[in-house]
Amino acid sequence: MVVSVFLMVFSSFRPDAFVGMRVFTTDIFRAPLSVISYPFQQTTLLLHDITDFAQVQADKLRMEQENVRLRQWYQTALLLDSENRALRELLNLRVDPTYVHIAARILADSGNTYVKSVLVAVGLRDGVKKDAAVVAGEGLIGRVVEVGDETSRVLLVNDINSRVPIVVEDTGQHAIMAGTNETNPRLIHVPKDSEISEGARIITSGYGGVFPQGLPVGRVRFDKDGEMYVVLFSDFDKLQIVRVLQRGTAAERIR
Amino acid sequence: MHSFADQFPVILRMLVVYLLMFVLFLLNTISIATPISGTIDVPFIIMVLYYWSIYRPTLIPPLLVFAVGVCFDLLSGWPVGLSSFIFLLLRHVIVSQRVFLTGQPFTVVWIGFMMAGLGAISLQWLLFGLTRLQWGGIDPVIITSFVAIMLFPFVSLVLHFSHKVLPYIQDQYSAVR
Repeated sequence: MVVSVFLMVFSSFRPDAFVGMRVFTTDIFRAPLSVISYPFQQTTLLLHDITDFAQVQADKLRMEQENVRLRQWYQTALLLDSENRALRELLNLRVDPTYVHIAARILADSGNTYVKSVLVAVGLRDGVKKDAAVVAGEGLIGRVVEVGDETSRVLLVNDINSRVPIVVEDTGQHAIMAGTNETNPRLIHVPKDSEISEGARIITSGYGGVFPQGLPVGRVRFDKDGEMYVVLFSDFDKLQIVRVLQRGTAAERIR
Repeated sequence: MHSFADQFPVILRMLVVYLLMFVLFLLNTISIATPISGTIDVPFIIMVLYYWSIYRPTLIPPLLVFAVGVCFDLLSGWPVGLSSFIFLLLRHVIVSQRVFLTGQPFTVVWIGFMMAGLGAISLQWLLFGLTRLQWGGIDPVIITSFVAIMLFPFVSLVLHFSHKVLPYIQDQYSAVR
């Protein structure tokens, strides 16, 4: 017990001292954790599929209408892209570094009451580096905090230690999205006189250099006390495949 | 002197018990997704420690408990040593009370688990907050404790079956067995 207390105190003051041991242990437990998580992941997906089935018909109609609108937007986007490139060349602007997507399967939701994280089946061998942003489906889910040879731990954006610099798309207001260990993170450092409206879309601002600029994150909502929180685009309960955004030239693959 | 052929069934039986403990350890390490309330954490390790601390403490020597705690912390991203401290404390307290708890009807054992489980989970919350100098809401403690208390009868039933395959071993605790 004395050794445990010593380790606990040491670990609190020097959390980085155990990173090597953590990734080593995670690599060792990779296979059994993957096996034990599989039935739970599949059952959850099946239950979601059953629940979602009733929505399919309504979604089909909505998506057909949306598709027509998107085709118009696609044409507009092509025009804007071409104009944007021409203007950048004119200004001799330094283009943002390109990111490659390393697709990864979720090994296990190793998060718990106090730490919100997932283990993914990619690591140093796949070109993953610490602090890489991770997205899934529609939006940002977190960043890589520990990298092993074959596995990495992703700290989710709703973890209490997570801070993401964001910008509200329509007003350009900058703020920080802070995890609370609950489903929806909160927005902090927002000036009192900001004109952020309910449902405003937020994206990463790129400040701090950890997250690339422009990743979709979620939408702003207000609670009954008028405090702002974020409903994330990604549904953490349905996570199966994620994409690690890494600067470099690694080929896209799924492990 | 026993030959390997004599020992083999004993080893096989022990293997069944430790394999079950390993599976419960892994289940404790992952968050189990539920269709209604997102993910839940079920503290299977606390249940296993409670059960074997009463009925066969020799199966879970302090060194093993310490190693399990450290492994759990490393896999879960918790401060290393936090779980091993709580697990060792739980084992120590329950072993000291096993003279009373052994032979009691299941209801009494269950009530004992309610107190021990709630204490261990609350201590986790308290120490985790202390190491990070920030405490989250008390809701997770209540939910995790509730889930643990509700699931304990089922888990102890499974452990009871595994207990039956164990060979009888004369040890320092046998007097109260």
